[in-house]
Amino acid sequence: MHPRTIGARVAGHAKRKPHEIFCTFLSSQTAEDITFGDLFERATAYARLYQARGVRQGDIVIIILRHTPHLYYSFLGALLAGAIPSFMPFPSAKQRSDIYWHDHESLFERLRPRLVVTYEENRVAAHAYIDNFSVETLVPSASPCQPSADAAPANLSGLAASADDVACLQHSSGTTGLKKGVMLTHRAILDHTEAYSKRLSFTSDDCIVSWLPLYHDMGFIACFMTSVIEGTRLIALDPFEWVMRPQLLLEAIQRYRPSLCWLPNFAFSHIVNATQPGATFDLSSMRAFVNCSEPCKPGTFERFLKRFEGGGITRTNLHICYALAENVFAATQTTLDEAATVIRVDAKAFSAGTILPAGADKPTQDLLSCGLPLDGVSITVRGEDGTLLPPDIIGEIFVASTFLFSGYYLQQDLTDTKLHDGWYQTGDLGFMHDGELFVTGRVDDMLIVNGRNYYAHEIEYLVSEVPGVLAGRSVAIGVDDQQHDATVVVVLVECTEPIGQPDDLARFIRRRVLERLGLAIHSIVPLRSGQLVKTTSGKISRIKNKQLYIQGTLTSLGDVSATS
Amino acid sequence: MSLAEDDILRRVSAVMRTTFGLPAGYVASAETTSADIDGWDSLSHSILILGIEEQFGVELPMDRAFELHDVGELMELIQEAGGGNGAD
Repeated sequence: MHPRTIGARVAGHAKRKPHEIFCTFLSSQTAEDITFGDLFERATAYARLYQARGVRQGDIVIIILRHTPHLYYSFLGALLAGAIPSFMPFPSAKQRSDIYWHDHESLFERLRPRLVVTYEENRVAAHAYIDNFSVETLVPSASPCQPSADAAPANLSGLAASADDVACLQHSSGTTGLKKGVMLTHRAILDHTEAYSKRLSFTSDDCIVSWLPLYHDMGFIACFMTSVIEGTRLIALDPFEWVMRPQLLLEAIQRYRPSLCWLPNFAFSHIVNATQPGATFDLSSMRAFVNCSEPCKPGTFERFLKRFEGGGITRTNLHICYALAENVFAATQTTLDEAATVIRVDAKAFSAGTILPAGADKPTQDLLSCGLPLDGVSITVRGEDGTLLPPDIIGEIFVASTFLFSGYYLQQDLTDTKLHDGWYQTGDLGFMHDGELFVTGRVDDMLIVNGRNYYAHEIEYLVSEVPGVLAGRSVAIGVDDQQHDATVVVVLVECTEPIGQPDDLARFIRRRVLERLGLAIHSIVPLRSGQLVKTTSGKISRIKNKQLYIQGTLTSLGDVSATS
Repeated sequence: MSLAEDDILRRVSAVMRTTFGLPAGYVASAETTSADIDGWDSLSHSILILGIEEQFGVELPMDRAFELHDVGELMELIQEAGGGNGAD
């Protein structure tokens, strides 16, 4: 019988195979091998350090680190000490540090972390920008091996934790102050891994390669936690290096021969778009590239396949997972030795919410299946009034499972609005077809751009504050960029009179949104007062204005990009 | 601006036109930033850098290429990497 805590799993691997490699950590053209023995020893050093700093069982430890193995050691160290760790993103190069830290004030007020593990530059910024910043910080030592721990023996109370204790928090993406801490128990994470590994036919020979950040469930659970729990090898790349040179992932696959990789849809496109034309790679070790966390597009798979079929990739290597942090990670997954199901449906009926087979001479749409629910997972699709919908009718997806989250940390009210009799209301739209789940969109105004979630109303709020924009008269919409096969954000704005320089307006809007949300607005369309269409209730309609934009029937005051 | 810089800017502008779908006559300035151009985000930035490396036959350091503030800094980086010394 396997141990029922994550820390005990790590201890077990270290005891059984101390010299086997847990992770090959790639950074700036260097590769560091970390064995299971190293992992446990360094995590234990962190546990000791935490205890010396007064961290007690159940305390929250926030980890905000760039690409470094200390991410692993500090996280597992917190588990060993019985604390509750949580990864969070660090400010990007284009984000303003003062805004980043001000946004964290209300979050920290709610979470009351006992300790924040971060790098020196970020620690200094926290003290500079938050008045009376009172959260204790811990900066990993420069040594790549160990934090500077004292010699006191570690009390690894986390090893003996109950399987039903909260192990860690996964923080949802979106505006920092509104992030929700998804509580996951040891049991939930271990049971999820068992069910997911079974679906993936995962074996001890599998090896995961990842460039994904750990503050996102795909990088954290699918890549890091699976490797930790299963005791398999992980090849880890720096997310920022990958964005600059996505080819690094292909080079790592060729060199280290991993078998599994998770990518959001945009990443498949980015690899195709930004890999040297003509360069070839041997990708034949790969059992699966799993597309997850964004709507998966058949066209994206086709481009990836065409570009890399010479490297050994076939249709049966391209897969899809539907995942959500509230279900630890995966709820459904396509079967690995088969090509993912694609169905061709009647486009008109689809836009009206019904799935009908494609008819002759009618517009059609291809949809990719997200696969069957994992063992222990049940999925229903419901109408707006909560009634269960039959297959082939689009509605809101609800998930129940044996490893569902335990609620949002210190947010019982919010938990109650999302959890109903053991069913989690996802906010995602989709339908069931032949027992498989198809995901089609969102109930709310969430936009998924490059794997990250943004809410249209948050973008519109920031845009409204820009001089020259009529307050409350802007719309943020997600649009397909055909050139790069990506979803981009376009902002339609009604301007005050007299109309200023459109170029200046665009620059102000882009900077404001980039500095605060880290999101690059693709294009800005300035309009005269009254041009945006309203709903019958008087609100500006995102759907109708998006249609007008796509049809090209909105008369812009001037092309505000350099394309004019 | 020297002749060499003029040439670099002309060739950088050509790569920008391809990367961002800009019109045939578009020419950037040293002060041009990502906020001035439709669709210049972190992903298209990496495609731009790839195009620049091909155009000038150089390899740019990743960390600095990612933190550029404007086209002028990109031109400096190209020159430091040994690009722009002749027509490639």
